Amino acid sequence: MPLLSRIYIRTALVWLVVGSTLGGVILWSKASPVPGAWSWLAAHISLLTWGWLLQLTLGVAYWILPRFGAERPRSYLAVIAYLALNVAMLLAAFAGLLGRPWAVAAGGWLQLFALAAFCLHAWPRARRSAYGK
Amino acid sequence: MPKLARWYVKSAMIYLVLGAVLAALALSNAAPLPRGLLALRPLAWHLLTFGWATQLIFGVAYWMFPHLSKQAPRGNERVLWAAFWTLNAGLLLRAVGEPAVSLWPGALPPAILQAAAVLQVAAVWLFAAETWPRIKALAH
Repeated sequence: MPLLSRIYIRTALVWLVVGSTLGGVILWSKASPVPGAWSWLAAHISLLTWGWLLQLTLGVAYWILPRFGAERPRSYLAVIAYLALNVAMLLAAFAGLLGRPWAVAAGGWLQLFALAAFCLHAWPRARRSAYGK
Repeated sequence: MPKLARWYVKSAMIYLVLGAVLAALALSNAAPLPRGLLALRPLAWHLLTFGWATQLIFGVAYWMFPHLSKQAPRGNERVLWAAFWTLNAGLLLRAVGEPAVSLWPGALPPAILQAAAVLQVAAVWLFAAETWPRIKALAH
């Protein structure tokens, strides 16, 4: 497993743990109210959809899509996608909590940029493998 | 595919079907929905994202991630089985408790939802802790 995939997948696991714990607090608060629990809802959703599900998918895709020999060409695009995705996700998760609606919008655009960068990296790799299948 | 991976993946598929049914019933905005269906909305989302997607990932990761060692290739099996049971017990308790709290507040003891929360979070922590060392370069 290449270094960048390990970084993607470990980061995804961290956001899974953080996002699920926030979700656990929110669910607990449905039984006995926890002050401020519902203010974490946007962070819970953002961390688990973008930070966990999507990020894990991208990390595994970077690992297992067909390579060109031993190379994963234009891997810098996947690095840019990783950085942009995590900054964007943190903006989307926490900017609303801090009362910065412009940052939520900026996070949305940065997420789009991150995904475009990853797709540019991955597009030529979605091809016949070296085994001919 | 090892036994635990099969259990994760098959359980995930059951939640996919149940979640899809609930989503079809409760997530539509085409017409005003009765209160009983609106109370199922959070459950529909969590059956699909946690019961299906996350549990499927757990099963496939357990199966396919790089092995740790020859003695314990996939880590501590007891911990990973515990993660499977806590995940599913937590989700089933949630399936009972969450709509009930919304429809009939006070009818069920709060401990049901509290246990659901603790079990689901525990499942994630257990699986993440056991999977973390398997995220490594493949040994050649």
